[in-house]
Amino acid sequence: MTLRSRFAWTLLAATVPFSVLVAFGQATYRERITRRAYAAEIDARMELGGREQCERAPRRWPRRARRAQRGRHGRGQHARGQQGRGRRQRALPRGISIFDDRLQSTWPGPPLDPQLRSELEQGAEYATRVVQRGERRLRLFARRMPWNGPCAVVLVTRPEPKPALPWTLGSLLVLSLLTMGIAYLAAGPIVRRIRRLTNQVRRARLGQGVIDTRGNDEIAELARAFAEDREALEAQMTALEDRDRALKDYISNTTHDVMLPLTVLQGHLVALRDESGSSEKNVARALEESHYLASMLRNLNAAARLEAGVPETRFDAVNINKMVERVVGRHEPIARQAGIELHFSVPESPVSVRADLTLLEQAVSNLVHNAVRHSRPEGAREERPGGHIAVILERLGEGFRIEVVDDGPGVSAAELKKISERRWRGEAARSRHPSGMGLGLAIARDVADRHGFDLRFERPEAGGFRAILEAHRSASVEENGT
Amino acid sequence: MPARILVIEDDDQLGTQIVGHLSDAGFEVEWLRDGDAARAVSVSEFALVVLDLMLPGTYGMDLLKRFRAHSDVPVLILSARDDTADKVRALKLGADDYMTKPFWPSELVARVQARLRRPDMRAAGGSLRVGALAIDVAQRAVEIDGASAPELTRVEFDILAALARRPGAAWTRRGLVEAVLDPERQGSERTLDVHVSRLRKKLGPAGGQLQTVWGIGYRLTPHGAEDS
Repeated sequence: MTLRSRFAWTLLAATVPFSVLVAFGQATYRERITRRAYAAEIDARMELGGREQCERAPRRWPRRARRAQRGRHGRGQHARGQQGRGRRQRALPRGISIFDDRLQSTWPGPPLDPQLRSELEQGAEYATRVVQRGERRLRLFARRMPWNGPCAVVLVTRPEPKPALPWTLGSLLVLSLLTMGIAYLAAGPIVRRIRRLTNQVRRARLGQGVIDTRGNDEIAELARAFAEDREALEAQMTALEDRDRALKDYISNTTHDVMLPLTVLQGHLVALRDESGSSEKNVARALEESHYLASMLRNLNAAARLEAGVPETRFDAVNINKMVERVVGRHEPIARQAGIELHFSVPESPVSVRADLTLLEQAVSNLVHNAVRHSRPEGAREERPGGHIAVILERLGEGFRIEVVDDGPGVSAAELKKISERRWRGEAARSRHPSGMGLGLAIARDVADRHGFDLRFERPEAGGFRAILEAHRSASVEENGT
Repeated sequence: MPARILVIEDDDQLGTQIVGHLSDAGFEVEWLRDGDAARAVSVSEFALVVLDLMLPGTYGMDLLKRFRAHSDVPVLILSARDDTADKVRALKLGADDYMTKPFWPSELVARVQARLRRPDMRAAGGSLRVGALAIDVAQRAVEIDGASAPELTRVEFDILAALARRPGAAWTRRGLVEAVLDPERQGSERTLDVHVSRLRKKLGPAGGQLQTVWGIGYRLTPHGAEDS
């Protein structure tokens, strides 16, 4: 519900019960005034000689009263008066009639209305009701006088005006609806200002325009609060970004500083292995560790860039054929040392796709490294030589597919489910290899997500493990892919 | 005559290793330690340049630009900063390939060899030579060690020619099927296997060059032995 209609409905909800209450209050008040007026009139008439006349000649008194009444109302009432006189002998349809203290009609006429009678019998000072007689509404008002005798109760019958309650109620309801409409209209300017403020706040979030803080009412106050909030937030963001950048640069520089000695170390280790012969198990292990270390450093770098978000991702045309070649070349020495055959296949014509060169290469590298590490059980180097890994690049319509398959022990269905989960990095990053490639696979997944590629893992029927990275969107970019 | 390679590397230890491994692989290596010396050298005399981008500065980039201005000698970049922008810039400036540290000596040697081998293959023209096999694509004729081979069917020759176009490179079964078989009539991977085994038999002792690659398909290597 919009603010405007909420405002209007609230007003309506408040005014309707109030109107009803007022209408009923007014009706009640009118009734009380009417009753008092009747009682006062009767009292006055009886005290100003009415009682004496009535008690002296009870049978004739009403007629005289009627005559007196006619005199008061003037000539206009004459015709009706004569009519009334004509009927007087049979019944007294209205005017005044009297009853004795046992509530019997003093004058031969109709008995007292049973409802009024029972009220009076219970000791009420007066009793009244409105009755419908044909077309006309009549009020019967019976007053018990403070004396006994033939004139103990006086009944006045008069025409009753139509009830005012429905009309009052109706006009008040119309007024309520009117108020609602006015409220709806009146809320317009306020709503417009709030909308404008909303738009300004939204645009400001995108870095377009500023929040208008002019004015000194509540909405301007709100605008100022927003503006202050935004400033504080921006300052905080800038500080955080600076810190982030500093951290990323630190990681990048540290990685750089470590990569050089690590390259030299790897060279020395290879020389040591070649001198001591391939039987030297410890050197082989040291080579693997240094390879793992290098992979971890690269992943650290990649993770820092992925965490930094989109600005750190740079999309260029990447020659995927060359990339696959590089990745296989990187892991080939370690695979060969472990007795694993690592082969790759790329299409004859280069596949090119827009991607972040470093991140995509690291993702594929992690898939291959994972295959190398898991192609044989830890410590089973001699028992199970001859593992195989195949890295296959294929064109997939406009996109490409990279498949990394091995014939190692594979994973259980539960493990497959686990590594296919998205939010898995936390615990994976903490566990060290051989299962510690979790970070690598998680980074591969992040990179795939960042590129809009599809990464999935499978358990082939023949055993082993298969990782598939697929890009379905257009790979057709300018020919000289980097 | 061994190919001459120029190495521009400022780190003593790494430079020594690179020079050592490239020399062991049979190349004639010249090593320059700083950019100023490299500026003066005439790169056209070398078959390939290994250039360390050194620090994030544009030092290495300047050199690369300078080389590219008057030579198209292959340049292999060594980079330590795993930064996409650096690599993309180097590739756009005309570098042929890059390697990120740390790398294995054999990785470097393999990359240099691959880079130097490629132009030779193209120079062979209409005739492809892989190990003992000489394949004349135009004449659709095959020679084994100079002697003409038994007659090959059209499909068998196409398979051999496709494999020979990229010696040592593995073809997927699917790729080969798409390249040489009529998809409507005999287009299954099992049919391909039958053709390959017949072809292998016909090539006799050179049949060992046609190798099955696990998980992928087939490849043709210059050597009949296990390893390439």
